[in-house]
Amino acid sequence: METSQPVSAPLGVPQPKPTRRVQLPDWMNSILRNRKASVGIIILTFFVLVSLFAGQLTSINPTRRVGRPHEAPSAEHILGTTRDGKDVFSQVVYGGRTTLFVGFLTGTIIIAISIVMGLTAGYMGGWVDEFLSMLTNVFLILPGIPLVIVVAGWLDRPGPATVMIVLGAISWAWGARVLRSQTLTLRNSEFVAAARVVGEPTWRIILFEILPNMVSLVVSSWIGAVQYATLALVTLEFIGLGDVNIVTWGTILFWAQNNQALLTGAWWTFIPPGICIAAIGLSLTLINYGIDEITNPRLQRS
Amino acid sequence: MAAEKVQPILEVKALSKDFVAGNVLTRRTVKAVQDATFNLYAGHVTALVGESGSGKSTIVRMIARLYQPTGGQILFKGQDVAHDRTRGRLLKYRSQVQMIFQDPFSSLNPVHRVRHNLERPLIIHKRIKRRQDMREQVHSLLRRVSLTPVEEFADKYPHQLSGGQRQRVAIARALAVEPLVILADEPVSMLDVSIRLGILNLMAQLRNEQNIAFLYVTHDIASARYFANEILVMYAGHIVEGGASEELIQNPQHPYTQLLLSAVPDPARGLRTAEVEVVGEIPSLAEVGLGCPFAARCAHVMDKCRKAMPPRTQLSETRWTRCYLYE
Repeated sequence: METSQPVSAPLGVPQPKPTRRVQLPDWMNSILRNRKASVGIIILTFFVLVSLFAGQLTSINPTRRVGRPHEAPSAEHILGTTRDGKDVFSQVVYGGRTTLFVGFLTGTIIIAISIVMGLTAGYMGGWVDEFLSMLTNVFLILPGIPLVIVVAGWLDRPGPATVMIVLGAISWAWGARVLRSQTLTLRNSEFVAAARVVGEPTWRIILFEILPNMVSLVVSSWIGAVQYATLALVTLEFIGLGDVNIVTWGTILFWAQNNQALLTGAWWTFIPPGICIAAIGLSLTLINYGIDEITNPRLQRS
Repeated sequence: MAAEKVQPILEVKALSKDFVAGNVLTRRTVKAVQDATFNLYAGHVTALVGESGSGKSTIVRMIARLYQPTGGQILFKGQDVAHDRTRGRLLKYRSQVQMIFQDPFSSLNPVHRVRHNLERPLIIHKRIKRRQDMREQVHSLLRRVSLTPVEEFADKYPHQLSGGQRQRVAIARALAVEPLVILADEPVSMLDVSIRLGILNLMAQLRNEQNIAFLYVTHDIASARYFANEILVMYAGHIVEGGASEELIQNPQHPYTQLLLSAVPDPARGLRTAEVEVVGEIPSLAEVGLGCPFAARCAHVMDKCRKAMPPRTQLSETRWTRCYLYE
């Protein structure tokens, strides 16, 4: 079809990928049109921006003593100071950066293992599936957080990298189970049979025929994993099983608890990080609900 | 066309497939296909006709190397391919034997554009010398299945196409490797009646112009009559009768073929009941015994029908059946 292009077509570019330009806004539109998802994305974006521009938001080093102990919020320290005289606002800003980064990275590790395990088991079938499903079931019945607590206690105050690996290694089972069952359904679809007849190699069938059909499932599992990882991380640090010398939302709470902030009435040391953690949890939940509604139109009626 | 005289391109010999169903305790064997024997010839359409569940698709999927046969041989140009497992040999076979699926709504991956579906076989089977030729090749394939304007169709996703257009894409995908054999598994049964003829004519044209051998699976005996040179009738896993299509339809021999043809609505006959008297239903394939599967429903049943499957009786040069009535 020779469309009558406006004369102003720059440099004679032959109307590059007109469909692709329509395609991307398509799913973005449906996300932005969904109220839950957009609220979640706004909250998340806010925290991501704060983490990215931490250095511009505050010039105070979060690990330095800059004031008297337990100073109430003031113009100089907008969220007051800790018992050690460190600036709480700066700690929350920098702590968020570490917490979010480690949380997202851990969630990504979890979902990556889930994808490998789930898709392999679902597509290969036979004894491979038997074995991987057994492994999945074993990890499924291991109680997550208590196990991490035991492992973290045994490793003696592990740093974020260690916690990340431990969490990733034991938390993939749920996602693997979900992705496996979806793979089982897609494996028997005719387009997979067609791809085999065409001669596609197995790895390409899994990665390019099956996986793209589960994007929404993968994304929502990923967001769920990020949420789980973030909260698990905060939990561990709060009870003192992480590295308490680095600043994260979890360790801020740990020190607040340790210094009996509740008794001394220093609310500014635990309310702000608490709100931040709750807000992140809320935003990820909202995004997941939103994705659920978008991909399952039956939920949109209400 | 005296196709029977020439060398067949693909020979199926005593092919059988058992599926094992149930768990360790309830294990039973479903004999989906037993002792299927027939040939495909270049430029010749062989129709496989039967009810749902008679094993037609199982045969096609075995020939397409999607299912591993339990027994028998698939000879392609005289070589048994039923036990090829190495990727190289499978690829060589797939570059010459292609398949069209029943449901064009599920045989095209919803995430891929039409272009992708046609580029992949060209890449996998190295049909393209230079990268620049790809575009032209894809467009020429689309032109061959009359999807024009080709530029526009190449960039569409399956959900932007109608059922008939999708099936044309599926045909173009099968054609991409320039196959010698195309296995068409009920290619028009999911399409609106009004566009079936277009697809059948397209396949007939490919048979005539490119000398492609077709195996055309259908439950619609009228379309088999229209399109096929030869018809094989299948019942409960067995091919019970075969022959040149017009001859077979004018003069059915096997009692099941007679039943099948009498069930075809005939405007001249109106809605009066068929003249062939039959009782019962198609048997469960898990219960198929030794004898003829049609014995329980057959008006001419004899004692030996229940004991063993009748052998193949050649009725004429182009006709055969498996029934003791003609032994």
